[in-house]
Amino acid sequence: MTQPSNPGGKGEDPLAALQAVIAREKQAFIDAKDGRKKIGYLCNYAPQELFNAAGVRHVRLFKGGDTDVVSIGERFTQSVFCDFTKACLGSFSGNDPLYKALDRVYAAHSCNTIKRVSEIINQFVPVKLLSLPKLRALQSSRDFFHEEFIDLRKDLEKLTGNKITDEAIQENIVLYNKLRHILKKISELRKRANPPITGAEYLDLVTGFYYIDPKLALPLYEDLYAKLAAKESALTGERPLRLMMAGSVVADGDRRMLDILEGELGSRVVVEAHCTGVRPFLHSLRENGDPLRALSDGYLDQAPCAKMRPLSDSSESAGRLAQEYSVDGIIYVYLKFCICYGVGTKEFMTHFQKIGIPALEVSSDYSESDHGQIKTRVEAFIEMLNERKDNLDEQYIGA
Amino acid sequence: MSNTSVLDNVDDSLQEESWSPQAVERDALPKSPGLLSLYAIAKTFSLDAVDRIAKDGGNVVWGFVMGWSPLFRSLGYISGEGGLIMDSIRLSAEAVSAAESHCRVPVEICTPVKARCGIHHLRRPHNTIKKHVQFAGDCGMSDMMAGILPLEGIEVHTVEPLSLLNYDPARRPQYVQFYVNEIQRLAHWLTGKPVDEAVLAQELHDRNLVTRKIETILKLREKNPYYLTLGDVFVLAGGSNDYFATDNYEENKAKYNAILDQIIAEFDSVPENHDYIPLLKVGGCPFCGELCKVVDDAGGAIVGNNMVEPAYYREDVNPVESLAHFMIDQQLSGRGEDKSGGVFTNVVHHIEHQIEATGAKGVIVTGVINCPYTSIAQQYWQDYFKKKGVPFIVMLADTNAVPTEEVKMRLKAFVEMLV
Ligand code: SF4
Ligand code: SF4
Repeated sequence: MTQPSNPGGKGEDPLAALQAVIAREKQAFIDAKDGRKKIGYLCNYAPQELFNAAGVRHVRLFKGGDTDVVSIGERFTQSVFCDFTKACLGSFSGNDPLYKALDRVYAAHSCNTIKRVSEIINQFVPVKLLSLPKLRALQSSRDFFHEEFIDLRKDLEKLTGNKITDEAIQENIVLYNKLRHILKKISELRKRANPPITGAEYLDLVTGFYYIDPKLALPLYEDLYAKLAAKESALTGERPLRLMMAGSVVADGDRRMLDILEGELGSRVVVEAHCTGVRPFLHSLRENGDPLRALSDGYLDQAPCAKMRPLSDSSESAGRLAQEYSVDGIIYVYLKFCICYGVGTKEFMTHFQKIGIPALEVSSDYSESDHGQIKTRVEAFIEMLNERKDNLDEQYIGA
Repeated sequence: MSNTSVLDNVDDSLQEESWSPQAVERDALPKSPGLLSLYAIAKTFSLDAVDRIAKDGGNVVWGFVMGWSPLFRSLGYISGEGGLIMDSIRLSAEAVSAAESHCRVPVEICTPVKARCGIHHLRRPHNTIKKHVQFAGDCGMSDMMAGILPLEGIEVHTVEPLSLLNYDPARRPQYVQFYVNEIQRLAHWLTGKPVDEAVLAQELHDRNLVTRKIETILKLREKNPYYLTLGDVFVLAGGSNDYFATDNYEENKAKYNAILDQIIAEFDSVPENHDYIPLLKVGGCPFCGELCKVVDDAGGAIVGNNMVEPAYYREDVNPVESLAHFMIDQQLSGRGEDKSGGVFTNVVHHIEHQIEATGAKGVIVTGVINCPYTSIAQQYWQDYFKKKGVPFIVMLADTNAVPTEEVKMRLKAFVEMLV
């Protein structure tokens, strides 16, 4: 297991407190019988602001990591799909209470696997699949995505019977901007030589963004930020190795790689170029003008996933993040059969090489069978990085 | 020009070759001269031929958009993708290894993508075709392969797709406008100009005439499906895209049309044979010819395939809009499956319709190993057929695979079970 950093020092651990709220909210979502519709969404291109403005309960569908659930999902996909989508189908088919509670699912055509899987999920719960442009710089694509959001608004109004006003959208843009901003600030504390939280802790706390009511989440995150920021930042002893994790989605429940990197090998993941770490919090939405337009533009303008074209947009954005957080190395992890990050490997690795940051490519799934093999490879990479770091640190001290 | 004179120009030596095993092994039937001519012109379309044109400064591009081949031709472009696919099957071992080692394509990715990617890498030092058109609604693997082609020195133009799972008829004008924009954007990228509507309209009209002939042939095939096997039908339908033409477009168009007329005429003298078990094939085409032979030998005949379905371009609207409508309709019907970004759960209705139309007694589902999209669709179809009580069998293979004895036995047993 990942070694926790105990960020609060003495007294109550704020991270544990946050986890308790997340667990409570998930259960409340399942149990609620107040007539409010419950929706789930796949991927970060589905706008929470609009869901919240519609008055629905909403959660991101990104549980994963459990091989039993994966094998239930395999009944639909056979083996040749990424474990994330198999886990998603397994959760629907295996009657996971969170997934079973849903009235409707919203998905964006982020990758073709999600598109296909959405069609199967549609057999369990009605799905609305949004067209998601790849060419976000193109005005006609931006206009069409706006039309998709107009349609989504109507769909939510039909589902709930509530009118979604511009004011409500605007209010939620402001609220979610604050949330993204505070989560970005918490992440930035990891720029310190002695980060106050581990990578696994950051991913765990971020899950709250997807499960907790935003109005409840904001003060919790603000409080957490204050506590983490106040933590001793001076480095005692050797600086831990700083890593970025990039690649496929790291599901809620999948901490395999982080356990190896942080728990077993003592390095620190200080930043993520994947869709369940800090990447979705790097941008802010416009707070003036037509709010629905601000929403559709803002979602397209977020730090891109590998679906977007040109693919170099994604690799360059990941590279900038690695440089900004002064990482020693990058672990590029993709799930087996992940089309986006698997086939896109060369673009990412070539770019990381170009900017002079060592990177290791690892393909993985949720099984434990390759644990030893992955650990050996990662260990060798970390040894190499440690030697390099020592040389650089010496050069730095000697300069 | 009369039909006969057009076909007289087909190289006789090619006509003698048994390029189509299915065609020549039907000893009991007269050989179809039209079919031999078809294979002869099909064989002239190769990567080498396309390369020669590109070297001479001709307009060649990689990639394609399903259903939009008339657009490419109206813009004066040839898609070399067909040749590339043929070569990727031939060269797959070398290309796959190049893809895995140089392009870093993971080992678990399907052979068609690895092979194409590897060929681009191997060709890089002498490649003269520097443009690729990618329809982003195509299967995700192909689309991602296009994403890394810039690393092989190839410029990529992305055609944006719609996802029509929640098709709303009231939004149809928006959908049409979306694809109209994409068509014009593609035209600008290739030629610097908008589409020449008069030229495109003519192409669509010509294509519709050809489709009508193919539809007639498919109907005539019911008289005796052994005269043209499914493999033959694939080649026939494949030709309707581009008439197997390289630099001889108008000439091949005429030849191809004449061949279709000839095959239609041949059916007048083909003996009727209704003594077979009609079967439907669903999905792509691994070991297609071999598969047909096993089915035929066991007393079955493949009378339909969801990949070969006649569809027409509207001629009552502006031709650019017609292409947009065509794309939307093929996506909705699930025709073309992953190549068209279609809704695969809709394909079952299509298949059901074909079962009704052909009286098929069973379904053979085929697909490429390691193709995620085939695998998810197959499972869905299987479940569906099971519920409906339609017998089915699934045959997965790599693109260049030769069926093993075990595979043949399974298929034979399936057909015999239906007797
Ligand atoms: S991007 Fe990769 S990991 Fe994510 S759903 Fe698509 S194939 Fe799976
Ligand atoms: S459809 Fe399947 S086999 Fe064909 S390229 Fe795509 S993933 Fe590969």
